[in-house]
Amino acid sequence: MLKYILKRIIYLIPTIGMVAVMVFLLIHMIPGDPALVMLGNDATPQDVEALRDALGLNQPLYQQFFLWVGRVLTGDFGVSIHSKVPVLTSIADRFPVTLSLTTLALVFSLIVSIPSGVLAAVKHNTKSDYMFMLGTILGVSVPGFWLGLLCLLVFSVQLGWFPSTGFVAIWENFWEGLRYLLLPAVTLGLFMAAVVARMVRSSMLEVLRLEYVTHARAKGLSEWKVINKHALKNAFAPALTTIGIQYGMLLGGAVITETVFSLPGLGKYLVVAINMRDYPVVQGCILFIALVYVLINLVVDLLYGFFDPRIEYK
Amino acid sequence: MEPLLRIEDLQVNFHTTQGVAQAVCGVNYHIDPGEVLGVVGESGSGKSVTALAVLGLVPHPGRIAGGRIRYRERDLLNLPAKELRKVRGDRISMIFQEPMISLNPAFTIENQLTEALRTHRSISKQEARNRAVEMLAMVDIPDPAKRIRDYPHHLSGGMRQRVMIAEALLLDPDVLLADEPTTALDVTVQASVLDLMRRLNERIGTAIMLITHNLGVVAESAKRVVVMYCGRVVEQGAVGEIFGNAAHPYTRGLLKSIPRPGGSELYEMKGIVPSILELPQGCPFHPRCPQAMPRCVREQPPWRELAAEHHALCWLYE
Repeated sequence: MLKYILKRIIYLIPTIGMVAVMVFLLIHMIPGDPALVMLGNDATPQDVEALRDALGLNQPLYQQFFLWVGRVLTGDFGVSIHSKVPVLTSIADRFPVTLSLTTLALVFSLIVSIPSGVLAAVKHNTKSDYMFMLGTILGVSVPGFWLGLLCLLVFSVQLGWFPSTGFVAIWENFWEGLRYLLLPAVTLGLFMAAVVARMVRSSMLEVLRLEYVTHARAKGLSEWKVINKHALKNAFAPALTTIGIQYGMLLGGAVITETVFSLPGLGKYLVVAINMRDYPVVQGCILFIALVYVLINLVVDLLYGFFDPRIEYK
Repeated sequence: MEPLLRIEDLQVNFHTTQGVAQAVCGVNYHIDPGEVLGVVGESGSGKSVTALAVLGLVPHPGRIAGGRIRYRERDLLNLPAKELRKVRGDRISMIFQEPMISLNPAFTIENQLTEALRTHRSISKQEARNRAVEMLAMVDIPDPAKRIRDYPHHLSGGMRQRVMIAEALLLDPDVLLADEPTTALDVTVQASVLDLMRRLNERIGTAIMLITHNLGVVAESAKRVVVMYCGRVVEQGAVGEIFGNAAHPYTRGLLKSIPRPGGSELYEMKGIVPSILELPQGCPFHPRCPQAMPRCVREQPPWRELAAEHHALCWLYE
């Protein structure tokens, strides 16, 4: 098991390396010049050129890349071109917001998707099942930013149940923090809830037909136990894959959600940085998000063993 | 002697998109306390569905359309779900054909064995565990205290079937429904599992309904035999009567199809089992019957007593 984890961590290196190259190339490929953004449209070409020199942007791209990689390897993600604050400090400030948002979105989507998926499978081909399918299609197809705006309009502006601006950290004041995070988390988690629910339903349908489920019933177990112990544990492994992949969608979706709900998280920070062509920040943030995503998937892979003991980690 | 379990005029229909299939069509038979009853027939003869009906576990899209299943003055078909669950696994238990897929791969043997015990009896975890280890020893599983912590995939097919048997007999049930318990096993393992079941039957006194398509298995183990074809019981009697004096042409065909050392060329029954969606008129066996008469094509055959406790469903004995 330990050997497996170690091996997986070694595999992370090329993955993260690829991400680094892609991020670096993409951000340099898109038009826009950080020096120009910083100095404004009135700046003289000489001023812009001078700033570019000062920022090291006039060096060849590969040189810039290796310089950056070299620094990242020593734990130095550089400083923001714009604010001069170290990137890592900014990430450390903002990531907890994103983490609490995505975690809450994950919890919400699991609370919704697992019971509804199980129920739909048990009530296969009945009205409830059809309603469920309709609901999940809606959940998958409604765009997050639109739903976010709609939620803000109805629940915050019209009904006044939730605050529409501002932010209180959940780790400082849990209940107050929850009020600020609930709408964004639901908005963000809805898509994942729909996808995972469909996965739970289909793998439950498959498992419920299997012989060991009949065997569990023949033992005299209650239907609750047959479904939620014997069937669900087996049906959950495929759903877990989806959850791992969908967590990446949550991290990506957080960019939009944080912008719509103006939450001071990594996503919003990233959007601002992209607009400013703040290369070190964009590179640092995306690299960090990629790292989180791969680590989450490592955890998911380790969890498989719990749901399916036949899996061996070698 | 009052029978322990009596199946009366059982009808099970499968509602498919191609129509209603009569999987079990007026089946009558019973099992006495402590006896081993062999139920024989080809695949699709309704023998497994009958056993599943006893526990109320007929799979979708099957539905019990009529009849009664009497067990200790109660009709299992009319029992509330909660009462029926008390019978399942406790008084009447079942083992399945494929030990490889009948145990839940996600739980340890201990978890699956003690679960049945703790569902039906209020005993401590430790007691349940001890009882389970004892039972595993009884079904000849070596080093049971260690093996009980294994997951099913750690065990061979034969071992798993022993675990299934151990589990089924944990609560000293009155009846064990054994649905092709040896079919999926290697021949050598088959013999030892059958032998085990016979010994347990003598020792614990649990009646066994041994469902099989293998007449050899029945000859070795059963006291009485029920022969099924296309959802009907076509012949039933003591094992000696059936093997020595088979009356129904189908039973005779089955017996002639058993290979014997030094025997003449193997008999091959003509035709195949018809689909239960398109059963022929009259006797469902007539297209394959070497002794078919015009009457067999038109009318359902009658149930006739040929000797004491020996019956057949055939026009030959009119």
